[in-house]
Amino acid sequence: MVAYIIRRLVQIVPIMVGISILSFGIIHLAPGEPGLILVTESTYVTEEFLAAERARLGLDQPIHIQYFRWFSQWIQGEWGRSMTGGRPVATLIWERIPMTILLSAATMLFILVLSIPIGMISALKQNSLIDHAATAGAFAGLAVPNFWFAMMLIIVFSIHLGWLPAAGARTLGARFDWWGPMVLDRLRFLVLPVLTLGLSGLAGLVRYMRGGMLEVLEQDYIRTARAKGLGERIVIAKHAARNALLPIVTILGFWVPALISGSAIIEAIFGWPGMGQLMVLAVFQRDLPLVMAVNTMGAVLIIFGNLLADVAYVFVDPRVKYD
Amino acid sequence: MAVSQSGRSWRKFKQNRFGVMGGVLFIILILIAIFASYLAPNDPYRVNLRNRLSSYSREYPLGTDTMGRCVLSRLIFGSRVSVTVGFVVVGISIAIGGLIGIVAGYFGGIVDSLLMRLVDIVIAFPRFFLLLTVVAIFEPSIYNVMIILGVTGWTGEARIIRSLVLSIREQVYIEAARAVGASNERIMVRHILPSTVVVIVVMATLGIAGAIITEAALGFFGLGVPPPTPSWGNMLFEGRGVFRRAQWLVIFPGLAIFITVLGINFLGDGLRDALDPRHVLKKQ
Repeated sequence: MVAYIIRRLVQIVPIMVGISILSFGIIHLAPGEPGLILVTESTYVTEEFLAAERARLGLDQPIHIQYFRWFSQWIQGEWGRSMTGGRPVATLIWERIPMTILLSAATMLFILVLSIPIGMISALKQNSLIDHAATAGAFAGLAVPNFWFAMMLIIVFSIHLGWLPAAGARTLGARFDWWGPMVLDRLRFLVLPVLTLGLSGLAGLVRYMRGGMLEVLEQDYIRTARAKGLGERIVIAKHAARNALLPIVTILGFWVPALISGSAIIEAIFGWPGMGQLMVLAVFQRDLPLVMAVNTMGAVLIIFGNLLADVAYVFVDPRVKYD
Repeated sequence: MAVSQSGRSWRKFKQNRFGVMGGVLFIILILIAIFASYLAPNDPYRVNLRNRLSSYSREYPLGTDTMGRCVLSRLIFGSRVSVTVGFVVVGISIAIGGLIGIVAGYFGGIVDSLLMRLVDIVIAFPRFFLLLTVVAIFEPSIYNVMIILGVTGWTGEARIIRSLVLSIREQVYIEAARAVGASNERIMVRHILPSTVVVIVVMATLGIAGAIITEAALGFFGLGVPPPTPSWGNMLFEGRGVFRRAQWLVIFPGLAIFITVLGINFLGDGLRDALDPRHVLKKQ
């Protein structure tokens, strides 16, 4: 197990190098002189001043030297300063990562808790009303654009009904006597973002769970279990469900990129102070050091999310042995 | 009498009510895009500042937007962007994904591992972050948006085609082609590519839906097709600022996207069930 994790970590190294090259390359594809954006866009400057700035920022060096300089700094946690606020990029990102992880984890939990029972009931009562409703819901969920769904939820639950907040992550300035009301306050702010971010994942997983369950129910060992006189409840819970659940763990790994990527949209709409919102802000301010760092950190989150799913798979499936 | 494979598939497809419905919706969408100028009740570009944000009326069936333009006409013209983006993006991503998938699957070995690591790297990038970055760096235009969506959207295609080619290359007819001295290029183009067409058609159909949603998402941030050209995405962007007062501005473009994507997904699923009996493409 340890050996497997170490091997996976080693495999991550070339991928990280590739990601850093890509991050760096995209920024340097930009027309004009991206590194000098602040100077060239803000003021009238002389050629001498520009040349001095270029030398100061190392922009007069060949591109691969610039890359190695950036990479060696990057690996040491030196991610530069934000062009707009002047604060260190690393601080800005570390402040926001917990919020993105909270949102992604809550969404993952929401998807799992709902999709597994719905998919299973759907399979067990094939062609029933519940099954048809679940299938229709899943098709609708996969087709709804989440950014639009977010606005519809805000219209209904925030504007018309006034039940849930439309933006933010907690009630600002509120004081709580103990942790109970505080958690409740946080949860209220999580509901709408989680619903929108999790919608397509939920729809996809319901379909997956239903398909997997139907497949498992046709297996010989289910017939054997029934034949030896086990109760239906035990057959379903112990023999069928456990096997149908296995592929779900892998699928969860596939959803990690979608969650991180989707956070840009959802966090921007709901004013959720995470990395996705930071990304959108950075892009609109053309804050290149920040854009580069957020891109790279997003990729790191995805890689480790996938690693987590792979390791989880080893735990849930005793047949898989990685040595 | 011999029943051809395509005849059998067609019959199977026709039995799938949802697939047929999706196909009809898709054809209607394409017709709307083609004949937009005949169907639209008003000029989608005509600004009327005296009649801003007016609600439903006989002249403006779906009301007017922040500049007094007819929402229905803009929706109808917006379908052109979606249809174009859908086809072009899928064309690009299938070309890249198909090439990489076929080469990786056919040659195997070191070529395969290198190409698949490339896929891993691109997948590890949060795609929407990447899109935002690139669109912000380059000027947003319909061409840039289409190229960027296509160039970042081929990883799934490459993986599926690769795994398909891995099994195709073991077939006897490939061995036969090699035995008569066909070159690698010829085998890939003449023998392997045709065997992947069915899977490509299904992937392309579902890919169109994905491209339409992603373009609209960029448009939603004001980074898609730039105004004044109407697109469903930039209509949502323009409606966002006033959506508390004029909810129809955000409801209808979203509904248009939803119905379109639903129809295309139904069509894609129907095609998969009819064409791909071995289910190379997994059901979601």
